[in-house]
Amino acid sequence: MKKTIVSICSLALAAVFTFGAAGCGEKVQTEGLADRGNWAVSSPDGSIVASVKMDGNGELSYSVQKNGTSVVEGSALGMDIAEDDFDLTTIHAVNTRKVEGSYENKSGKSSAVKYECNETTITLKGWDFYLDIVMRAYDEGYAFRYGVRAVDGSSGTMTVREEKTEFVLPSGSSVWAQQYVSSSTEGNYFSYEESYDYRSSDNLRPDVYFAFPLLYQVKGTDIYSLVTESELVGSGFYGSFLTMPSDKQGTGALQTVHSPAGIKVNDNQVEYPFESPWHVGITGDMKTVQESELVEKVYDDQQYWRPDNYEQLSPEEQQTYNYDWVDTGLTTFNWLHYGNEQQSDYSGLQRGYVDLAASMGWTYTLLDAGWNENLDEDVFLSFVEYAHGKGIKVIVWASAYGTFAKGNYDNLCVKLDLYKSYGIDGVKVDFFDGQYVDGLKFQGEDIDSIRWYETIYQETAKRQMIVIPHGCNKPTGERRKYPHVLSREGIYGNEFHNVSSSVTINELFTRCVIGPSDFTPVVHPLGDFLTAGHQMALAVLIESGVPAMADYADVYYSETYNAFYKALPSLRDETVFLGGEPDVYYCAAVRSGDEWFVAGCNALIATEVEVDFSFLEEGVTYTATVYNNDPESADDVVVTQETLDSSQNRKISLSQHGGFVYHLVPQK
Amino acid sequence: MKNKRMAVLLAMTVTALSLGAFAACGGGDDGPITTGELVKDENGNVVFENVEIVCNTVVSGSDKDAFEQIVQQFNIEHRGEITVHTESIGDGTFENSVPQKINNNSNAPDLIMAHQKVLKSFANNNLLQPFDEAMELSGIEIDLSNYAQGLARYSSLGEEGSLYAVPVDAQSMIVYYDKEKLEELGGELPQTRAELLELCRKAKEKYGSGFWPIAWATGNEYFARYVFPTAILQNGGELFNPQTLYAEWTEGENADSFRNAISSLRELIYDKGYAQYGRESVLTELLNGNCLFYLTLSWSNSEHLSGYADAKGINVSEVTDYLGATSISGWFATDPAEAEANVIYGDSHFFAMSRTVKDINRKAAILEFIRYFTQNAQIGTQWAKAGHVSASKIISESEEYQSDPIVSNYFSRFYPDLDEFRCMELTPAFKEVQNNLISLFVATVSNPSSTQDAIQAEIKRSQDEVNVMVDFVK
Repeated sequence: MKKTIVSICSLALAAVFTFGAAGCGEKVQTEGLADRGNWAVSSPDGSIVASVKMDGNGELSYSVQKNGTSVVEGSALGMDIAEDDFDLTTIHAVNTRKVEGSYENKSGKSSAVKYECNETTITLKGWDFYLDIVMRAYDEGYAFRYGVRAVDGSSGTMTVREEKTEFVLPSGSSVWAQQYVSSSTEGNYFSYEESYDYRSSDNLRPDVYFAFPLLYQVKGTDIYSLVTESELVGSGFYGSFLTMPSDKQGTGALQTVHSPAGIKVNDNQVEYPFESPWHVGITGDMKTVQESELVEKVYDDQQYWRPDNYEQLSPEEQQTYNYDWVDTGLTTFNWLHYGNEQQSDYSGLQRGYVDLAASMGWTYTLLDAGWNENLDEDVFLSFVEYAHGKGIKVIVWASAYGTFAKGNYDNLCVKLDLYKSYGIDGVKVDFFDGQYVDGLKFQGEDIDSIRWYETIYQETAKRQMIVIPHGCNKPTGERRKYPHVLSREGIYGNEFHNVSSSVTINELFTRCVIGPSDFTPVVHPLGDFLTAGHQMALAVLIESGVPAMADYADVYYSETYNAFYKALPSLRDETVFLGGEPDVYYCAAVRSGDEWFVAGCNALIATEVEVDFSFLEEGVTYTATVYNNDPESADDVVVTQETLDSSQNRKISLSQHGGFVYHLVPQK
Repeated sequence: MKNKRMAVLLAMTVTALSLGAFAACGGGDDGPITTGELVKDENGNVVFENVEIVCNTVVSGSDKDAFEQIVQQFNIEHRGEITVHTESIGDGTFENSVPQKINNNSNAPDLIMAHQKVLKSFANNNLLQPFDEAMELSGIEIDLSNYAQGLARYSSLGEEGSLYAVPVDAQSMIVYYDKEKLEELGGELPQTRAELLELCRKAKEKYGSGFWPIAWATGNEYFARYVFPTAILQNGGELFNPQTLYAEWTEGENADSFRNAISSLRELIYDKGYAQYGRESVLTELLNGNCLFYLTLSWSNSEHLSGYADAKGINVSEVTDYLGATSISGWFATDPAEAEANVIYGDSHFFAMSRTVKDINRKAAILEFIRYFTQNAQIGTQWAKAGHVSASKIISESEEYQSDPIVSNYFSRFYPDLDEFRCMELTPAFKEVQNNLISLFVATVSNPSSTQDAIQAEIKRSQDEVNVMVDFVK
């Protein structure tokens, strides 16, 4: 009934608002009318300008420029909901503000982060709802989101027919993106484990879906933009992909649409008041993009999550939500070499890996799929006691829908309570994409799946257990609210064994920019397309709060590698991009305390890179242990030592698939 | 067994329906169209600018990474000119999903990398277009005399004078042998079935029970797909009549060939006890030194070498000291004088062009990519190391290919002469032939006490099932 009334009202009043109204309620496009509104928001340094426009027909669009160069051409904005007609809105209010602050990371690219942006919120009024368009300009990019709220302040559920958001890429842009392909021939599954391949924006086709993040370079410039989503968890919305509308081939326009890997029919019931996930475009030169933490900065001064009954908890219970129990640190991961079958070998293999972790100064040991096959509780409890006795925490594997009964809350709590009673310290939760479980009602990035992620985050937080999602979606900054979500798969990693250097290089430029990645580096390559030097470089370049070291134990004990993997940090104070190019090579430096790790890795064409060490602290001399590929064997590295300071450069030859690492320790 | 039969019947029905549907859709099509113009430089070479092509490939196993690596290398070397995007589609769905995409012109591939066996069906259903016009306009030539004639003979797909499909490679079962044991047994590899039997006898005698002169996993479907047809061909058999397309497995000399092929396998398994039936994997026999010969799949070569090296605690490069490579040429030929005694049956990848491609720039880019993939020695060597011996003489005769240790120590020995390599031949009923050969293998080789009458009845039953579908397809 309500919808009918709204439609009649829309028709009656449309003419008043300059649109004119056709008999069937279709809007008549009227050319030549003056824009009804133009708003621009500039970044603090003025380099980014994001403009929003409402044209004479009430159509909303935005565009973005970097130093006067168009980065996003005029692109549609808006939401289409069944409960109102946002084509027929009035401009209700426009508010601007400066957003600034700082926070400290428990894990991330840097330990301390400052954020600063200018924000304009344009509030449009429909019949019963306001539509807020919140546009932000940072020095390192732009971000925008929608808000939908009832005029009368009520709450309820609305039907989202369509999100209209587009990203129109400038003509001739070079694009690196992950195309949607189901992980299985039967059904639609996607866990962000495809490669980020090059294409030209001029050749984008309507029948293809791209996952976030998507990186592009504006033709003829050194301006890159990496577009993705943030704050998806908690939004009550689905995860989005990009696809070209069928009538826009050749325009470079990509529209946000529901993930093609969902299963829920009519997955469009969204609660209001509603705040959409942020659309984020990290924009600037490659250094700006690579060093950016914009996906997490848009959370502003976000507090860590607390349950609704927090105030009723005892002071001791409240301590849980300080998250001081969250420890970053390396973990053992022996599944790559030993598989499911040996995970429950608690007398031999797993104790050996606890010993390895203790010897290396690592924090965790990870028991993967198969750990609880025919579990003897007494044996397992004895193992956990052994690990804890050595100061090593225990993470176990679970299936998001298999272990936890297709997303059943009570079952989740029972299982987590059981794990906690065992003394387990964290859970690696796999297959959020829905694979291997029949009869699911939601999967992938359906709205309820995103809620399931959050339920797991909350219930593990209550029990002081860290979480590592696997078979999952992209990171959307969740560790700003749930700092115990220390790592995440959603990356084409070593579990595929024969990963190519052309894949890893592009992952560094795209996926690894937006959040932690569980690549599970080894030392000795598992296939023909990576080298030991490349794998060591990945251990440095891929950020994670729980880097999982996946090679045989004896490799880490060996004289060649022992010192490096003992020193490898999980906590990073600073990350500096040093150079690279998608499809070609990548080089960056990471600081932890007063030590630096400089790493570079190469794709398919042998090349020479020059590393400028001017990022080092002036006046300090460093002893550098250098690990470079053994020209005689892709399996091995050659280790040398030298002295370095900030005045020096080094030219380093990189073979096909090659890589290197410098571990720099200041001389006392 | 019942379930297996049901699955085969179901597969036949689905294929038949699909073929019927495609034939109906394909009817009335005016054929491929060429649009656009080429830009050429002063030397007459095509100048490409940001041409993108989509390749659907049936490569989807452990060799997929190598394929994508090669494509990526091509893309980097042709940045701004040509970009190839790939989509891997498993063997089980390729022959249905790719035709659907082409027929619906929805997400249709431009380039297809398919097994030879499916291409006749694709061509019959008007899904492909020949390369000839694009070669003439672009000057990018694919000269079939540069390819192994055993494979190039399929390239016209029955339309003489046209080039529809370019052979890329060949793959089948491969054989390793334990060098130390062979040396202890006299050091000579068998060249005929009689020599094989004699060597196995000596091995069994020397190493006793628990030792398998031949370790093979007949439980792996590929065994029946590759080794059983090899045995039939080596005995002079024919999988179907190329003129009528009917299976003639009970007629004349062909009937003898089928019976001899089955006998040759049963003899090794039951009469002599040199090999087993029914194992899903026999890797442990290799790793534990419990076999002389070890049969496996070519695209797992790299994994096997590294797995063997891991188990022995040696480097991969040292594996050649322990494992040699040989061929199953002649292993099943009961008559060594048989002209086809050295034939090996397997699959071969071919490149073909979808009929949906219209722009001449895209057609020329496809040719450029095919030329790169099948005429570049470095690329061919990489692809061979992933398990696919090159069909291109330009590659196989190159110094880089021949001097590569993996190629020279293994692949050149697995398939010594590609002109002796056979695929499915040209039939739209390939799936029915293949599936019924698999079920025939299981029905006639699984039971140690099968009588000749029972075997003959199974041959006839399988033949008739093929022919029911041939009637439907025709």
